[in-house]
Amino acid sequence: MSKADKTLLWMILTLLGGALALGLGAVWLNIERMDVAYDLRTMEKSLGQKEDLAVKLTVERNNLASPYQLRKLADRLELGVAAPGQIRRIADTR
Amino acid sequence: MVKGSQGRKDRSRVKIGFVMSLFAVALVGLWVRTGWVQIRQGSDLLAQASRQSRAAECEYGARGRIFDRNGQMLATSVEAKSVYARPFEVADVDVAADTLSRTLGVARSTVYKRLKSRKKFVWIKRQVTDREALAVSGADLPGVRLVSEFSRIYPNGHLAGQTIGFVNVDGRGLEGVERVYEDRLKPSKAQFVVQRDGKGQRSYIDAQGREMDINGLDVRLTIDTQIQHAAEQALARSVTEYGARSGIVLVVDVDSGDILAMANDPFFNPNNVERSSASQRRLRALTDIYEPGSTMKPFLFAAAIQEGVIKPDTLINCEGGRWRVANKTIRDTHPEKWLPARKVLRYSSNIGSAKIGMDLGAGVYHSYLTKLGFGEKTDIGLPGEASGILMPPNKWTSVDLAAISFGQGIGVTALQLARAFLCLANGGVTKDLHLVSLPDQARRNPAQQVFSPETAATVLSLMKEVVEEDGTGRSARIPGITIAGKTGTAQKAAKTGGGYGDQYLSSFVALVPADRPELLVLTMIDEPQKSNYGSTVAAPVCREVTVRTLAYYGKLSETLQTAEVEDVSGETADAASLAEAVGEAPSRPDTGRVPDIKGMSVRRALEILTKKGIVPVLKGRGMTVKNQKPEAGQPWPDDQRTEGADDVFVLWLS
Repeated sequence: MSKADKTLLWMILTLLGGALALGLGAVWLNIERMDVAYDLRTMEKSLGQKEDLAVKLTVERNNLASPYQLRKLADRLELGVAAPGQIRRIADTR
Repeated sequence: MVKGSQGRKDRSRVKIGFVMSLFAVALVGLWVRTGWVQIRQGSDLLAQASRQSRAAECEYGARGRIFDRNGQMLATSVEAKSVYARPFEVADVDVAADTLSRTLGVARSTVYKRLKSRKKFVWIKRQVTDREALAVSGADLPGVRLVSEFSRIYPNGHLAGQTIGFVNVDGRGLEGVERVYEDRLKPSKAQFVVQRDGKGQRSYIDAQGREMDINGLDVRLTIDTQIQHAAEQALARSVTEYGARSGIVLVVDVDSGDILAMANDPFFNPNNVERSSASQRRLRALTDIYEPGSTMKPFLFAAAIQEGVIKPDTLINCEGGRWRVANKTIRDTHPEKWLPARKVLRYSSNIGSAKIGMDLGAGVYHSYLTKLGFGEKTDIGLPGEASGILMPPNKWTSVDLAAISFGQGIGVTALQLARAFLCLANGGVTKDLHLVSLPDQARRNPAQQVFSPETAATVLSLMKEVVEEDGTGRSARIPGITIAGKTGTAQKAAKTGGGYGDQYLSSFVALVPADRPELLVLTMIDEPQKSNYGSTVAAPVCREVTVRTLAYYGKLSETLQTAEVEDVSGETADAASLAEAVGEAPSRPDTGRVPDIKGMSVRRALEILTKKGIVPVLKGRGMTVKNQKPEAGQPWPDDQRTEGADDVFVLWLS
């Protein structure tokens, strides 16, 4: 086998090896992409659930802080709106 | 060569050729097939493959929220599950109907009928609770599935319900702010492609189509939930107490024209639209037209003073309480003979007002009423607003002029009345009312000087006498605060037609403080039964709303006598006035010894101590008294007038 033939043979083998490596790399990347996509989906679901919960808790907080609820609480704690003459403004002497 | 093979032909070449031909044919066949699949059918097959592995998916945003002026949430959207079924996939209709009926609280017959439907898709129940959704999911019924939707929640219940409005089950605004700002509030949707795997699970290919903001935009109102609540509470109490048909309270910030509260009784809870009636959903402050009665008189006085027809001390003959105008008799509830103009307003004399109106003339008075905005919508931006009724002056008879002078024969909405009083409170310059602060509202009407500042101030001083002197508005008086007010007790037209009936509209308007108003409170109580005077029915509502609003803003007077001194140091504060204001606190019998205050609320403890003239030092945080010094049973400290600084009395809180 002449030297030129050997060179040609090596080039072909190298190209074939390269093609194989690229093919395997493409498959690996595709698998990784799918894994990332699944993870992303899971995290987005989790985020969505947490956001929903946060909204519901905000609604609940607003409900608890609503004037009607505060009024009930104030009645229970025997608190009420100040009448004229019941307010003292103490000067800050610090 | 082998002997046996000599006589035979060597056919190996033929065989080999044959086999090669077969292989060649097979190979060509494969190549042809490959070419056919790749070139001829390639695009179709690629599309089929895409349909299998990719799918379009939509994501819907949340509807915008509605806030009050302080950021308190009035309406928001929460993700909720809805239950639907594909009837042809349901294996056992009886079991599914039983389970769904029990879980969702829907009648079994209804569920059964839906599951037996020939439709491909039926709703079983929309926007179920999380608990119900979990139960349906756990039942794992074939053909029954859950889908996410957004349901509208109003955390404050019926607070400002008519103003906020409501949405239908598809999230579309039908009334109130929800309807007017539908385009701003409504969410958009994002559509994008996802990849499906063999199990049908979906994953995103890229972010294309998902990066946009699909949530609706928020709206901020000028309403203050605390003041709105105070207005609703006071209004409901009065409507119940006097057996009235309905009521309205408007609270307006004079400086900005912002509507701080717009209460309408009966209330409407937008969380329960299906249980409400149309009359509950009506925003009466802008849809209902009333003959306001005597609350219109300040505008007559302002016009007459502005035109030089009267001065506050001009004497007017009030005819002893009865006066005939073109076969109609006008009566006063406080019969008087000669009264100065200021007392005509103070005692709300209809006869005196009618005479002022006649001196002023129909055309002039009509022009003032028009400038004040009567007969025109306020364009506040909510649907269903009425224009009111204001006849052209050439159609006014002498009786009409007399009646309109004391607020009968003219139809106004509560908003129109509030806007007109806002002009008086604003030094005679008109000002628009605002209900929405976000998005920014363009100025609708240019400001117009209707009355001179001097005229406006004079009318305010006359209105102040209505409350602060022996006028009809005494019941609205608040110690330490000056109020300019006017009562109104208007006869309502008979439902059968032909004159007035026996029902009334009681109203009261308060401008606080009287000299330089910052707050405008308007109350209208429709058809009260047990009493019908504005001074009895409506004025106390204005008073309560004003007290609570001022207390909320920290502007309530510190002393009972005057509001002049705004800030006094703790050392100079008069504890006696506080104790006086507290009145009869439910304290324990005074035995001359310090009582046991432990376990009491701070308020109760302070009431007891301030009655003894002691302002204690509070230590720690909390609402309950944990410990006290001096202990129970000890004699009261000698120097009862010494406030906190000397630790005369210490309360520890928890």
